[in-house]
Amino acid sequence: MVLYRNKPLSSHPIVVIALHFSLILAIILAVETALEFRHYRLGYATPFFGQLPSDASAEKAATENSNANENSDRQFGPTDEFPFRSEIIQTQRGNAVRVWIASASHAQGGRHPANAIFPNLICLPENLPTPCEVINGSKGGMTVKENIEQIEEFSHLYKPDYAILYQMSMVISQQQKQLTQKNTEGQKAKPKKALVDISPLKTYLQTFSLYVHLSDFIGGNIKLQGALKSNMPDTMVQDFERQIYAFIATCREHNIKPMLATFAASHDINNIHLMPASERTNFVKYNTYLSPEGWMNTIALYNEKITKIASKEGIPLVNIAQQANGKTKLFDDYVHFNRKGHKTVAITIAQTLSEVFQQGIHRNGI
Amino acid sequence: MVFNSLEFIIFLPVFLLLFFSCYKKQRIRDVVLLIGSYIFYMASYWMYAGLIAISTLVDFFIGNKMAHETDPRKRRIYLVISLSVNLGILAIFKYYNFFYESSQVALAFIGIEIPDLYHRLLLPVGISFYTFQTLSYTLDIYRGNLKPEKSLLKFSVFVSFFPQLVAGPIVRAKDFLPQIDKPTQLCAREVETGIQMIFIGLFKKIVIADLLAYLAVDAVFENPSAYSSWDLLIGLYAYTFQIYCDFSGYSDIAIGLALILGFKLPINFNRPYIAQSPSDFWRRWHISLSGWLRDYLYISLGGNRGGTFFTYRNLMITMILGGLWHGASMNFVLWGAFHGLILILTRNIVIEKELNTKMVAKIFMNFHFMVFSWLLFRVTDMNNFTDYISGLSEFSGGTQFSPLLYLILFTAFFIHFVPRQFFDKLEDVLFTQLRMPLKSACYVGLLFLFIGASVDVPAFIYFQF
Repeated sequence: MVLYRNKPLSSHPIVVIALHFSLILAIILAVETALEFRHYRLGYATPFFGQLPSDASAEKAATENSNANENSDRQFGPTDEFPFRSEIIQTQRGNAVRVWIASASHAQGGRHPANAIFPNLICLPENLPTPCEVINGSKGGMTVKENIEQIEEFSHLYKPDYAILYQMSMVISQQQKQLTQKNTEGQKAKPKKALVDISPLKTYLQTFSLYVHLSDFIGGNIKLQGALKSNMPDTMVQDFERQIYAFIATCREHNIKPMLATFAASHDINNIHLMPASERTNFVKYNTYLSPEGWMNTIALYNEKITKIASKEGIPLVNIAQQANGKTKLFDDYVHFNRKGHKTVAITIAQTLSEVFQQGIHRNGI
Repeated sequence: MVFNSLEFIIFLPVFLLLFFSCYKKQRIRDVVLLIGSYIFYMASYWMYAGLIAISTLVDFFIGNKMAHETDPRKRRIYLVISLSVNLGILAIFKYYNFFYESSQVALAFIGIEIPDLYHRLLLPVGISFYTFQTLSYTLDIYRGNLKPEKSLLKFSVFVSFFPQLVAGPIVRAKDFLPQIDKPTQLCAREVETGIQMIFIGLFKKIVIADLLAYLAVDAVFENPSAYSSWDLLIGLYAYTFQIYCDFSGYSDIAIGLALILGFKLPINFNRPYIAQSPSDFWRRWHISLSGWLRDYLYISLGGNRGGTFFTYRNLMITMILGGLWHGASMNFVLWGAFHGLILILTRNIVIEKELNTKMVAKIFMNFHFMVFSWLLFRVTDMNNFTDYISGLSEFSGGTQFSPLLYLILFTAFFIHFVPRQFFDKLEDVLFTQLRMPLKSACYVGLLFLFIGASVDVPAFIYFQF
């Protein structure tokens, strides 16, 4: 073979470069294909093999297997008319109490069928006897600000009685972003006068399995060795409080009864050392400021703040942390619930709602 | 555009494809080089490409005028125009705010207040590099050491040649223009060497420099009082190797890219930390800049021709201006002054030829002079400096750094201080003999390492100069 004799073909400089490029590309493509196939079979969306099986089909399969009887007649969004991942309801209200869930990927629960995620389990009769309807205003990556914007956009249509805020990891991520950009401003400031913006391509390439693996296994483990902080600075704690108050104010402005929820993660400060290394890298995947322990400390502190605000403002508190925090069996990963977790959270919310209903606090009844 | 960026990964194959399809036709090759270089620059700062064009046009026409002018007075006027335009642009973008602020502070001290008249212009990337490059051209013509380039196209390629445009090496016209005059001669071995140098440069940048910064340097300089004396010392060693690997990594990539394109750029670093004296260090560190400062500044000031006092004065002026070249900030002035001082104090040190205790002692002492000088270079302000020094002088122990930091630092020390022959032999045994597919597999392995280890992708330090 020419390649193995090395001399004749590769003595031409352009051939040297072309061969290197081709071989490098071929090896990378081979590795990417193999990794992607593995990912695909595990049910992830991959650039070469396509998207995850559609939500509807996953849902269908899940429904067939588990709770077909009780849920078979339920129709879930999102649709063009109803942009929420919850049971489709009309804008016109009936007697049922309406509850808005303001969260992010935790409540969107993309890897689980719609009938198995907590917002859609709350109003099942076995959990909450009072007739109720849920509007799941949650989407992966949503921030409190976006939750607020969505309430402002849709509340006049659906007129929810209650809005429950379950947000924290997105807040912490956003705050870390602010802190890391500020810290390395001089080094990382992106020039605004770039000729071409290739950030969409960059984002696309970051979905490749090879990139995901390398950045997780090498980058993640390196990041964990860095000088990570064990606490958020006070300015960020105040920022968090401001966000919570902004949510409360928006709800009140739109005549909705706000409810707050404490946040839960798969591990807490007592058992974080038991978290697998591959899971710990999740904490440093994006904007690296806090250590995994720092995350736990911040979650604990922010939960404290939420509890205080709820008490001060006379707002019902759903103590999800008490039921789920540190209970690894309830999670798919560090912050996303598995099916058992979704059920636990739904029951916890339903119990709190039940207590609130008994006190007779409804829309316009504040 | 940064070498370790996606933009460059897209740009390079397209550019190489175009270049190799026409490199035998000189004129088309030069056009491709010129357009490619401007695209490379404009990808980040398209607004400032005009400044390179101004420098190019001014020096091209002045160079030609000057060469044909016999009247010394007129030749001097041409030189002054070139200096004024080039240094004027540099002064406005890089030094105006610094000197205005310094004047404001000084005047306030005697009770005179002047209004805030600062600009908010971004510093054009690489302005110090290409300005010095074009200045060397006119200065060489003025001194009669160089004939002017007749082709504007070739001269433009010389000024904007993308591998070294934004962070050097600062190439002299007499070294580069003759290479453009000739048709490109590609050589398989040099192409291989070029590819290897690119990978070596990326390794230095991503695996050593960036990780040292991430694991230690940024943290200790951000808040020195939170660290023990030991950690501060380790942080300083880490920065010593970060700046070396960052900058020499860039130079390696630049030289490697140029080799692939059939051009030879001068080496810019020669294991600077094994220098035995400060003057030995400057023969090994940023060689293209120190050579420039020596030839066009130190010698222009009189060099060592006017007795001891004038020699010392010239050394000090050269080093302070060299410090200012790096940035408009007081710490760079102090860094330059410190280097001027140690150059003066150690002028009589004799360089040992054989490895012996004296050589080791001199290397050790000089290395620590440099380590201290990098402290002046890196601090953000005088408070940061005094915090660092007081933290160091507490002599407290204990470390917050991870074993990975120590491993990378040890690797950097090892690579730097172990004789080069060892690595040459290692390369011969382990790499050179490999078949091409295995070599490519090694490159893929390194690419995987680079992708994985790119924790934060900061720009090259010398971009800001």
